[in-house]
Amino acid sequence: MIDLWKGVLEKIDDYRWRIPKSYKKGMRVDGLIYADEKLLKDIKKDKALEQVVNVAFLPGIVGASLGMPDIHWGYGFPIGGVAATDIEKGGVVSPGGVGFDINCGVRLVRTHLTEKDVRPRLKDLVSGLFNTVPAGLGSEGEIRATIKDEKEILLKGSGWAVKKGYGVSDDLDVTEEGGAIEGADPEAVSLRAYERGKTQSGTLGSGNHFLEVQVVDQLYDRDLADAFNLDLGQVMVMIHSGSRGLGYQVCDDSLRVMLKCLAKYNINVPDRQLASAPVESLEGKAYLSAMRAAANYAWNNRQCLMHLTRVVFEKIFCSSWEKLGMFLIYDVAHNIAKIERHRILGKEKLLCVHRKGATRAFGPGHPALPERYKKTGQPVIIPGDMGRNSYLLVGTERAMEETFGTTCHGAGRIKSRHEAKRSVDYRELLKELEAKGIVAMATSHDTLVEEAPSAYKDVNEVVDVVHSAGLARRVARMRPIGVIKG
Amino acid sequence: MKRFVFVEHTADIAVLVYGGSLKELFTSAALAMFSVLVAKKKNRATSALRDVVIQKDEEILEDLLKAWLDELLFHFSTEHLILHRIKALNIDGTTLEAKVLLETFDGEYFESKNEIKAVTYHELKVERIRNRWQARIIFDV
Repeated sequence: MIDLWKGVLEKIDDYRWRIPKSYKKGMRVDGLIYADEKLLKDIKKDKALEQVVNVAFLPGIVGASLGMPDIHWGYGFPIGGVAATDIEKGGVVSPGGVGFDINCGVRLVRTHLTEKDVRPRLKDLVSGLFNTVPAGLGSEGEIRATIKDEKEILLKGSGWAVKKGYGVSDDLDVTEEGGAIEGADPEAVSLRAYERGKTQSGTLGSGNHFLEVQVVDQLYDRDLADAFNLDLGQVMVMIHSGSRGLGYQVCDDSLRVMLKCLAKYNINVPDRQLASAPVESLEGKAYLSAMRAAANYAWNNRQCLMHLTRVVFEKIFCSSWEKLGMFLIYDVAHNIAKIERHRILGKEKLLCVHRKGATRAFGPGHPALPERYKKTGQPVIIPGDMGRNSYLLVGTERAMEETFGTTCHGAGRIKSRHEAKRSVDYRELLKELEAKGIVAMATSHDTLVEEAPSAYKDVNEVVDVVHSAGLARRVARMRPIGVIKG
Repeated sequence: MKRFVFVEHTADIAVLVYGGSLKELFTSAALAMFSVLVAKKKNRATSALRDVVIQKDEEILEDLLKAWLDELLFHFSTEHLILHRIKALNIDGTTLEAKVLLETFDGEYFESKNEIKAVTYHELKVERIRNRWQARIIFDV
């Protein structure tokens, strides 16, 4: 392991820590970390905090370079990093502030089923899902899209799937950006990216991506739970996936272009992975057009995955998905850059908000929210590891004021993949999960071991920080009973 | 002497690769990448093989190494082709020409391991230490 991070960290309160911009020459703003003492101990063990410092170098950055409590070492930006740049002041967009998996995100589906209904059929359900939802290497989507379809997917996002009958228009209403962000340009996407995405529509992928059957095991606010129609023991489905090979290639293509922009626009950053260009430059606009196309691909992908899930539930429980109450609660992106209006020192500004491993968490009344969530605030979905919990929260006004309406995105890793492999045995892990009543299936033993619960921070602690700091409010907690991994 | 060794990284996969020459270094890097992607279960008598020519020209060695790995990763992610053998590999300054033999992934002979999303630029470094080449690469998985 590397040495503990020894930079300057000032305590603001129990959940907020500042890295002053005087810490390193070139920082344009402070770093601001949301964590408690316990989480901070782990955060200091890798290079995440130095990456918060590096991000503070980006031209046009406003407020602070933010780190959420699930922050860990990434490439360029830390995972769990947030940065907003002022477009009018030459603010930049950085593909490394979004990541290779553009619009990696999560969706949460409710059901009318209870754990009692599902438990006797759980093994059939999990193997049904495992056989139907393509995951892992070489898996190709059953949902085939031609090149013409691909272009339409990049423009219309989830709307493509809904048009094909893989869902209903109501699904779009409860997807961030309605499942298709404006300003996507399929022509800005390279042939190579099309090639990499071609057979992957409706595939889960591998690594930390998953599909889980979960049960609500705790409610925190009766009114909010009622607003979302949630009760204890209720079965839910959570899907975590992104833009697959298409998104990875879009990011890679853009990085090549943007590395040249560093000299062209006189941008000084300490890590080449932070290559960037002004939002208003040709290169910046081209990246955002391609990134949005990849984001739409991802929303369509999760829509297709949800459709496949509904089909499996219909088979196992011999009923239509509507009768099973399998309605989408919400779908959120946690790797994306968005052009948004926020108030900075009392003035409204047009910003480019990078959320890399961070979730939008708009408060009640925000115009971007669908009518049904105007009162509650935006649903925020936080997946944990496969052995512990996941959460549904809502966005807050405080997040609007402090973090550009942003909160954490998950538990965050604590152990490297190799350390996990050294310390976790595949069969022991399956036994341990079984003892907790969890049925898990994965195409790769390695993946399951690397994603073992002990490789992650406790999501309960992470969520406790964002709740206590006021960046989101807890609504419900789930625990997994069925897990599908790549 | 080991061709590559994995080093600690919280979320992604970091590797140090070695070689007596640039040719050896680039070979080690390719082997390291494929060891992340797949593991061989058993040998097969005949394989479906494909010859592929790779030509790259970059400004610096780091980018050349990434371009070489990117090319192999592209064939792997689009057609599930695995490196079988490097038939020829010439590196002249920051220009590369290679002939590689790739084989099709088959679940009976290979076990799939991690998906690599990309070869990152983060901490990417190629250096000559005494008479030996060393590179540090981080894969996003």
